[in-house]
Amino acid sequence: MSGSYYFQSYIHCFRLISLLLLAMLSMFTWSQQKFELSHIPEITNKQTITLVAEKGFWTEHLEKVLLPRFTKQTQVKVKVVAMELVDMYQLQTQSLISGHSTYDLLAIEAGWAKEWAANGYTVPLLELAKKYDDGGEQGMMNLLASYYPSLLQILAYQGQFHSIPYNNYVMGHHYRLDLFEHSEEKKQFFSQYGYALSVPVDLDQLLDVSKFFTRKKGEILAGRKLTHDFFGLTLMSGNRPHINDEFSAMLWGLGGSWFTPHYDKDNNIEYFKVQANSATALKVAHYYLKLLEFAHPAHEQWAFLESANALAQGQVAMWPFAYNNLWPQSAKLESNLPYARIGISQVPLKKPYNGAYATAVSFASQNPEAAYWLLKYIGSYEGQMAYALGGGNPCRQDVATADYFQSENQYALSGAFQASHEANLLWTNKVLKFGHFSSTAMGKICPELMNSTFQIRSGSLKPQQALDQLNSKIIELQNRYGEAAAIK
Amino acid sequence: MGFNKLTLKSKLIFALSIIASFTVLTSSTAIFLFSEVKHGINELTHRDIISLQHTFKISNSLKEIKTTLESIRTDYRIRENNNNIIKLKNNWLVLDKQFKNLKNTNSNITLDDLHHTNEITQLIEQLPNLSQVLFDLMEARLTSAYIHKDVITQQSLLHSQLSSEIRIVYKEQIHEANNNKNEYLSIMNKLIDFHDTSTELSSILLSAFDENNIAKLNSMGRHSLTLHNTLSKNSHIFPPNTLIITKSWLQQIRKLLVGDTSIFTIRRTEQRLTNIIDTLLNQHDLLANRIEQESEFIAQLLYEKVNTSAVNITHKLAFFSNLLIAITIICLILVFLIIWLYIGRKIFRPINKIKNAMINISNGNTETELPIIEDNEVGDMVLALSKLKEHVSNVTNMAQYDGLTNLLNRREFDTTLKKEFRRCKREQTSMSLLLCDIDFFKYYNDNYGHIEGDNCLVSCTKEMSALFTRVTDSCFRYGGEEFAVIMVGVEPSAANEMAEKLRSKIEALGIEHNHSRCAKVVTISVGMIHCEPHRLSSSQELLTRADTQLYLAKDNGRNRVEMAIT
Repeated sequence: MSGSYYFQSYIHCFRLISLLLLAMLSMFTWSQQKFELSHIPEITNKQTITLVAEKGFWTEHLEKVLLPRFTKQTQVKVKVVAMELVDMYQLQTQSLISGHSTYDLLAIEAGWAKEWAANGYTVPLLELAKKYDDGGEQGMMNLLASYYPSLLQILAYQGQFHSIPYNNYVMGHHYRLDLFEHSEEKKQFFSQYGYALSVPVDLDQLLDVSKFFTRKKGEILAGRKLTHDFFGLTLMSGNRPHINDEFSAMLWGLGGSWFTPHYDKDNNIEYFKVQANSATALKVAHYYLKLLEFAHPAHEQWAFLESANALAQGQVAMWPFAYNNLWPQSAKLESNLPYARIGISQVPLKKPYNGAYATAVSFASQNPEAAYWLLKYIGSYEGQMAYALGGGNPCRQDVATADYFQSENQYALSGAFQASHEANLLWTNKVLKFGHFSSTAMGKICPELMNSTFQIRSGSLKPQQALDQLNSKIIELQNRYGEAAAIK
Repeated sequence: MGFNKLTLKSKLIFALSIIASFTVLTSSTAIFLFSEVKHGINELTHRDIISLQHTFKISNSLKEIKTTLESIRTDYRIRENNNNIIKLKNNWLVLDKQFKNLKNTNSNITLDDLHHTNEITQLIEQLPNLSQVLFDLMEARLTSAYIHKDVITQQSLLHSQLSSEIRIVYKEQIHEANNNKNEYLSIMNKLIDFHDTSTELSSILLSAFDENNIAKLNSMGRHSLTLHNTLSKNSHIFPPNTLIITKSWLQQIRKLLVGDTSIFTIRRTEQRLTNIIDTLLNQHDLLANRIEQESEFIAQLLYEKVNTSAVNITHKLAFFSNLLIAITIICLILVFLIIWLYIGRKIFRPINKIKNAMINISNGNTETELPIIEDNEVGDMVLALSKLKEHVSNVTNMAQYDGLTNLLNRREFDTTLKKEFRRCKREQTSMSLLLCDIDFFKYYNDNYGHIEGDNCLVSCTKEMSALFTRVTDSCFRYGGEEFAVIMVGVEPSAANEMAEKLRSKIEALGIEHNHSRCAKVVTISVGMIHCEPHRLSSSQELLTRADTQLYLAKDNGRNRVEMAIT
């Protein structure tokens, strides 16, 4: 009797353990597989959520494809608020300060992502995952594993991920491949400069090549008589944030930094050493001014779109500090000028400005559960694939390197993906060594970077004066609005 | 040697110059050594000790800085902190000046004052920013304190409101008994839930004042907003009159949850600025500590240096005094040697020699050796002295010797006889005195002339001189043709034999004397006395006795020797 009882007990236990192991295996397998729409569980809160998205193809795609699918799956309606990138910060901030749940899912630029996280405007992803995800924190970590670590680090606050990037604006060098390959041009360049013509990898070479390709109307370029003035390069030298991105890429490339975090033994930022008026920064300013001599004339609003168009319309030879998410625009060159070819490489000095627009759940959201799942869906392979197919620059490695985008046919769409992929990998574990990517006061500091660099560019201040002023300003802003002190 | 050819005056000047040089050398050395010691003492007092004083001043300034930093950390009053910032700035400026003074006082101190100045300048440049951040923090603290009070007030207001509402509902429930019991129970439960939720919200808000972690504050903020949303949703349970108050409360509370003046924003700001101020003040602390360490190190170095310098100066003084004594002694020795070797030997000694020679010569000692001196003036003196010596010698000869025979003269005989007599008497030695007289010499002169007579005398005295050659024998021309011989220390027989020999030798000369009555040739008569002088009263007695013997010889036929012994 007792023997039979024990045997049955053993059988029972064995079954129980087997079931447990099977369940764990299922869980593991589930957690490892790519997240899909169908993985979203039943959402109890059916309150409509609001999503902020940049105006353009992405909003359209969201509204037409992704959001209907999400609503169908979850029964949660999603309202899209389309905004221009330039308006995003102010409109959303106003809402967040008031604590109104106007937006459930926020669109964030890397420059202010830390600031918002520090102010408590965005909810940590793992906190949401722990609360709403069957896979728990690991479910979110599995999703984030596909993303470029550098982008996640740029967006993270105190090691916590608050947002998922979707639009990567890492820089690359877009150039007229046909000019660089033209035998006569190569011959002339060699005779003038004593070394072979190639895509510039440093600033001196960039100066030489820019000078070389700068021609007047009527002169010959690659065997054709120019019908307009032609310029060596285009710079985003208008009075807009992008001038700072170019300066920063050059500064970092030369080993400098606007300000540098110093970490304590617990890896917390102890303070920032501000070096905005360093000799390297001054050197960059001088290079920039020299490059301007061979750059396409730029009005005060001249930035990425103008630069991309200048390249696409055959007015410049290079856009050395181009945003790769503007590649489809640059690549129009080949359709605009059938004899021309577009090429891409890493920016000179290989320290491209990097960052991303991201999506995060607002702290004031009335339906954070649905907001979390929509965020996860947008950040899924499907969401990022859709974004890339629409002409965006993806932030997921698996999307950027997908076979589909490697084909020649997709060159005009995804020709920059590989360069972006390499550039993002170049930044891995390096971004947090720069104040630019680790300060919570960058939202306040970025405009000052723009002001000072434009003052240099416009000549309203001498480079040293502008940089000294910037140095003081960074210290002031970081100390007033940052979380770690800035010192000289 | 050229040096010897210098004049006496030049030599004296030269010698005195060298002595003076040594004096100057010694004095200069003394002055130099004194100045060295003085320099050392000056360095000690004007450089090291003053430097040490500067380090003490730096140390005091650092204490001031630290006190000011502590005041900034602990004083939450805006005006006081503004004053403290100004004070801190002045403290740093004073310290910087003291650093420069220290560097200027003591260039040997390896102090990177420029680096410190740069760092101090940077800290000072950041002070307005620090002041601003401090002001922001003060404001945040004030707001925080105000909100804290507000939260407690709001909470107590609501709770009293809720409590009274629950009491009302409870009474109504009892009053209505069974009719609407379930409805009232439901309302009461909702009221209790509302009460609990609001208590939780208030509790979160109050605990936010003690939370320093920004991430946790954010989490609390989110949670409290969720609770607020819940409360807002459930506020409809209140009757219209209470609903207004409740909604008002919710609105008040919401201001504390979101916006620039929310508890969480203020607490975040407070925490953030506290961290930043701590770091900024730590920069001051770090520099102050580093400078303190350096100044302590410098003070220690200076202290050791002062000690070492003092010991060195003491050693130097001892060494210098010994050196000075040694140099003085050496100079004295050299001066002495110069005086001894140069002035004594080269100047005084030749003069002294000349003096002695002059004394000797003046005493008639014409045999005195004259010094051989090459010097100009002294050489001339020697030359003059040698001429003088020659003259004295000639005069002496003339006084002692007979000019014809070159025998000692009568005056010398008298002197010698007395002297020898006294000596023999003192030494108890015998002596012999011979008196000789050429026989009939007057006739010889008369007949052969005085010239021949002189020749005869010379011939005889030559024989005499040739015979008496002993040192103790002395021959004299006693008178015209009379001679005397003094012999000391001879036996009577020997003396007699010598006398006989003299007589025979003169006879043997064969000088023709035809007018002699005792022989055909010149002969002599010899009277000799041999005596022990102590037996005689005087030399005169000896002479008288010898003379008696001479007369005896003459009386006994001449050309003979008559001898007597006493």
